[in-house]
Amino acid sequence: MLKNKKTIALIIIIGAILIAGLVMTIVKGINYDLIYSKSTRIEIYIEPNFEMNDIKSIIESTFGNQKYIIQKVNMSEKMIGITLKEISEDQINSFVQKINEKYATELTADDIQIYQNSNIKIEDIVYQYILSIILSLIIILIYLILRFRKLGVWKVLLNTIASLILIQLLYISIYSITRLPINIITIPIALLIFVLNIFVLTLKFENKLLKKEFDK
Amino acid sequence: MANYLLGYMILKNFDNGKIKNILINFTIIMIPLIIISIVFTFGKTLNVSSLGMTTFWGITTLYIYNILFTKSILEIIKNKTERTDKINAKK
Repeated sequence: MLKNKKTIALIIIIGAILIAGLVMTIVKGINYDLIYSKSTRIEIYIEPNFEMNDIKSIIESTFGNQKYIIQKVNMSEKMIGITLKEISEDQINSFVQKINEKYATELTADDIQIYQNSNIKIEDIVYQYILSIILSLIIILIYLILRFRKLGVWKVLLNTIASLILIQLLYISIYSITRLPINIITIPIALLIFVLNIFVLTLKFENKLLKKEFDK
Repeated sequence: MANYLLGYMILKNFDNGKIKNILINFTIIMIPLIIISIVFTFGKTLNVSSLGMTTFWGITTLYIYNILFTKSILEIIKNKTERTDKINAKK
C-alpha cells in the first residue's frame, strides 16, 4: 500500500514537471545562451600588451550589464573577439575611444570587424548527435533483448525506450522551468544522462534476471 | 559509478569464486557502456567523440587498475588470513 502511494506520488510529481515544462516552453519558448542566439561579434586588434581584466572592465563600462563572451582570436593573442547580443554604433565608437585612451593607440571604428551571428535552433544542435545516439541505441537494444529475453522481449524493449524518453523529457522540462539557457554543456549533460540511464537499466534488468533464476 | 559497482561486486563475492568470474559478470553489465563508448568515439562531432573517448579510456583504466591493484591486494589479504588461520589452528 505504502509502495503504491509512493509510486502514485512519484508519477504525479513527474507528470507535473513535464506539464509545467511543456507550458513554459509554449508560453516563453526556449532560453538560448548567447553562443546559440542572434548576436553581434566584434573583433579588434590591439598592438600593445593588454590585460584581459582591463578589456573586460572597458566592455562592462561601455556595453552596460549585457552578457558577453570574450576570446583571444589569433595565436599572437593581440586580437580579441567580443560577442554581445546588441551593439549600437555609438557603443562601438565609445569602446574604441576607451581603448585608445587606455593603450595610447589611434584606432578608429573602421578598424573593428563586425559580424552578425544568426540564431541556432535546438534541432540544429541536436542533429549532429542524433546519428551516434540512434546507432548505439539500436545495438544496445539488440543486446538487451538477447541478454534479457527471459524477462520478456517487449517488456525489456518498452521499459528501455520509455525510461530513456522519460528521463530526457524530464531533463528538458527542468531546463525549461528553471529558464536555464541552452549552452554548450546542455547536450553533453544529456548524453551523460543517456549513458547513466543505460547503465542503471542494465543493472536493474540483471538483478531481475538473477531474481527470476533464483526463484526457479 | 562503474568502479564503485565493481568494488562492491568484488567485496561481496570474493570468497565465493575467483576474481576472474566477477570481472566476467561485471563485463556483461558493462557491455552497453562499452558499445556507447565505441560508437561515440567514431562520432562525427567533437563533443560526441570526446565523450566516447573519455568513456572508453575510463573503462580501460578501471579494468587495468582493478586487475593490477584490487586483485593483488585482495589475494594478499586472503593468503595472509589463511596463513593466520592455519597458525591459530596449530596452536
